[in-house]
Amino acid sequence: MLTLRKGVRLTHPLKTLGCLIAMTSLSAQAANVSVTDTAGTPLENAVIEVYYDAATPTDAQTKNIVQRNAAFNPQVTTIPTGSHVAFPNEDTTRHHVFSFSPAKTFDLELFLSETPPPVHFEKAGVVVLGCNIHDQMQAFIVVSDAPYAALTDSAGNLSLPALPEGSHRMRVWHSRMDDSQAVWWEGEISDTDNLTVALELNAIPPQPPTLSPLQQRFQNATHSH
Amino acid sequence: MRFRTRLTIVLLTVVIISQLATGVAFLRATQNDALAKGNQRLEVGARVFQQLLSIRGEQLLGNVAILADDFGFKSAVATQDTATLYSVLANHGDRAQADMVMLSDLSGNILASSHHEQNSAMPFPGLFQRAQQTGSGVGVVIDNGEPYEFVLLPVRAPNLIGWVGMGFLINENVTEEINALTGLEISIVTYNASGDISYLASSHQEQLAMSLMSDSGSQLMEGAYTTSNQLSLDDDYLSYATTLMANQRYQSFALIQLSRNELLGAYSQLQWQLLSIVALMVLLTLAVALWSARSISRPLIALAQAAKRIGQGERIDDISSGSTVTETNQLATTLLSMQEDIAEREASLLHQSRHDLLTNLPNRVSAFEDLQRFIVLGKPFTLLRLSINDFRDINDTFGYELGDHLLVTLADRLQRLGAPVEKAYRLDGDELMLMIDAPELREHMREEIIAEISEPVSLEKSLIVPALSAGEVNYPVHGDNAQLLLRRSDIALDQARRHRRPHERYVEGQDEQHLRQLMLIRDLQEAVDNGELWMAYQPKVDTITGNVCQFEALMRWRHPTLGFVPPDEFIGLAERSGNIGLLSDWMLAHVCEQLYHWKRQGRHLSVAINLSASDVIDPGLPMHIHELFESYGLTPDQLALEVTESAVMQDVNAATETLMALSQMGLKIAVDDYGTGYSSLAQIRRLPVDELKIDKSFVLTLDTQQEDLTIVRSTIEMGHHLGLKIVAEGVENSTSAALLSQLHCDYLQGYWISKPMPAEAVTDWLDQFKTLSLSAAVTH
Repeated sequence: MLTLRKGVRLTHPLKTLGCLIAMTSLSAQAANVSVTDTAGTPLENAVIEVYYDAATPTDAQTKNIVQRNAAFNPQVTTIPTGSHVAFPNEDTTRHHVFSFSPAKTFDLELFLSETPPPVHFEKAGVVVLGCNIHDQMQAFIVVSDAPYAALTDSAGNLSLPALPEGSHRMRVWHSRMDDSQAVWWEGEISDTDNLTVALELNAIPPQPPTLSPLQQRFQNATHSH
Repeated sequence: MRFRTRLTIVLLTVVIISQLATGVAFLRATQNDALAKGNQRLEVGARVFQQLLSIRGEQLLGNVAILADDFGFKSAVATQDTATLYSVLANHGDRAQADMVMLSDLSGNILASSHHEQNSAMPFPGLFQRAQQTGSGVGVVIDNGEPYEFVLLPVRAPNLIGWVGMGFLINENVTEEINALTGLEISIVTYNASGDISYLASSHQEQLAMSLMSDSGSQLMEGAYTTSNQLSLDDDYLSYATTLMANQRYQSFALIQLSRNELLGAYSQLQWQLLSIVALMVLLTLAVALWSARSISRPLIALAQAAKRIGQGERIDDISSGSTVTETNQLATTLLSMQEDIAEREASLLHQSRHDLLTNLPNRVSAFEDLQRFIVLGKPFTLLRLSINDFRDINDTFGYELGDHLLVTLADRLQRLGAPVEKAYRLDGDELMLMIDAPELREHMREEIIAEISEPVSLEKSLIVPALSAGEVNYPVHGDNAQLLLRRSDIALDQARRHRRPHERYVEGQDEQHLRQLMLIRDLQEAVDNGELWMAYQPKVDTITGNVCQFEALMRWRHPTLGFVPPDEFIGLAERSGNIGLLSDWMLAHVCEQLYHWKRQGRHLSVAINLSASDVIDPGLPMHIHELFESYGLTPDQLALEVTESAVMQDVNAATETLMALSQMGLKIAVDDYGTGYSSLAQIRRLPVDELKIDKSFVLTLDTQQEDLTIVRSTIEMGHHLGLKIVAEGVENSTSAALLSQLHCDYLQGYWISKPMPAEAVTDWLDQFKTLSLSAAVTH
């Protein structure tokens, strides 16, 4: 049974019609969130932030985003504010990782099998990563101030840990929501809610990562060694 | 219409129509072909233009893509530093030789532009929308009225951070290139909403382009020239339009044109060639038509003239029509054979008109012509005109077929006669004529000829000897022209026939007599009408009493020019010409009237009238006389009738019947001229006759001729024995009168008593008459 939940505020004006929150009354152990697009297709790698008063602040972390096979791996990474991310290069090609995102602007020239010092992300926001050598390479680092932030799995689900009783602010982001990467779904979630968040995907889909004939030849040459 | 004119007109019409039809069809096809080719060229030009735009778009796209991928550019965009953006855009725009370069944010707001205000809205929303949907936008846009080929591409770093665009003004470079590639004129023209030209780039000369485009603006905006086009007469160009871009404010077209001169140059040359060919054909046809018409009409005219000459009787041996055409020669041959046929038929007609059908002898016309010919030669000749006596009886007895056979036989004999007989003719009915080459016919020769002709002819197994009468005339003795000779021969023949002689030669004067008779016959009718006739009365005296007992009425004619005509002459003529009835009627009426007059004068007179042969056999005569008696109040004793023996003998039965009727009416009937005919008293006895009038030929010489006396005496005696009274006429002296008295003749008539006298004189004469003393008789 789907009902429109009162009190949900949509930060993006285009979302007035778009959001549906499905609440399922189940035996409450832990909250659960599913993210889909408006057509109901599950969305993987959606970032869900839940704000509540945490007893302890979230520790800074250090994560790796590996360049392998001319791609960032993983594609989406969440880190608490103040964390570090290292960019190990496992490819036989060089990469030039850059970001022009307001949360963190940097560029790293990555040489073969070289891991430069990790980059420090001290400001919350979405950092879009690209490679100046390989245009199709793209990755996102979501630097979050929220006590809890995590990604949906391949089925678009995320099981939240036990939350404090009551209703909490929740934000959802996905790379295809908007080209500016600055638009979040805003809502609330209680400790026992089973929410399904349907996101409107407005971003212009990037050109499919097809290899040009030249790239294809180069790649074939590389793999044959 | 003359044949030549007609043929010329027909041929010319056919040729002109066919040539024009061919020419027009050919020119139309050629023109259509030229137009179709022109349209094809225009379409090709349009495709080339599109291709050129497309290639330029691709190039531009490449340039813009390089710019969009440029890291430095991306970082400049990311920095949002306006001055940097400007310089970057200008730098890359110059590299790509773009005319317009711009950068917008994600929602289309201008961040930097060579042509637009910063922060203004996207000027090309359509293209922008297309770019958002497909990831790139290539197309024609209009900025401030100028058409640009514009490329809009996203800037990704790697997420979308903005849109960069570059535009090429579609200007003379493009039109020149198209013109160089295709040879077509191309104009890029933009009209604003009010229809004015806001931009124009053209391969035409500038002024020409300007005027052309302002002329065709409205048509273009109404969508003209967008498909293949017909070329109207006042158009200088064949046009094909492609809409480059249209929005509410502007409409931009690429108008590709092909000039009329170029398109139809070859066509008009062809037109002239065709026209001269047509003219040549018409002249040729005219010449051929005239020649062939001449070659047909000239022989026809020759034939027509030949036919005309034939018609006029000319003889033509050869008709040279000057033609080799079979039909014409055939016609000429036909004309010649027709001429032969006509000549043959003419000859046949001539023969028929000149010959007698039955005997095949030359006829009267032929004879006339021959006579004229002989007369011209001046050679003496003789005509012997023959007729078969009683041919009518032969016809009646044996039938016309045998009559014809007789004629044919005689004709054959005539033709077989040798010299000096020249020729034989059949003039009419049973009249034949011989032309004899001799001044006159000697008797032995004539008899020889007649004998030869008169050989017996076998008719229906019985032999007939044809009796012939012949009349002869001699040239030049008896006349100097054919007409005269023929008539005189007729007179001669007539004389012979009348006198029942085998031969008469014409005697001078006969012709005049003949003419007089003709004139008398002709004038007889008028004589009755004009009162030229009158009656004379001659008294008869009774020998016993010596008193006048009766008058004989005698007819008299005083011809206005010929004077007194003897009654014997004109009465005989009247009998022969059938006019005697006329005279008889007049006489009867006249005499009866006269008797009536005398009666009114107190004189009861008796008159004897002479009846002609036709009167005697007229069964209506008794009734006629009866009516006259009734109307004039006469008694039968007042009228007596005298008939001649010959008149009665012509038809005794009919005469007897009439005379019986008259006799029963109480009329006395006398036989006149008794003694001259062949009748016997026995015959007369059977008639109701009361008197005999002894012919005066016996009485005149009674006193001198003993024979006459004897005849008269015996006649009187016989008459008396038969109970008839005897009248003697021609008593001219007292001796005769005395003799007759002595012979007991009952009545006397003659000069001795009185000449015939007019009616007026009768009463006076009677008053003065003294009773004759014929005592001799009494004493006898």
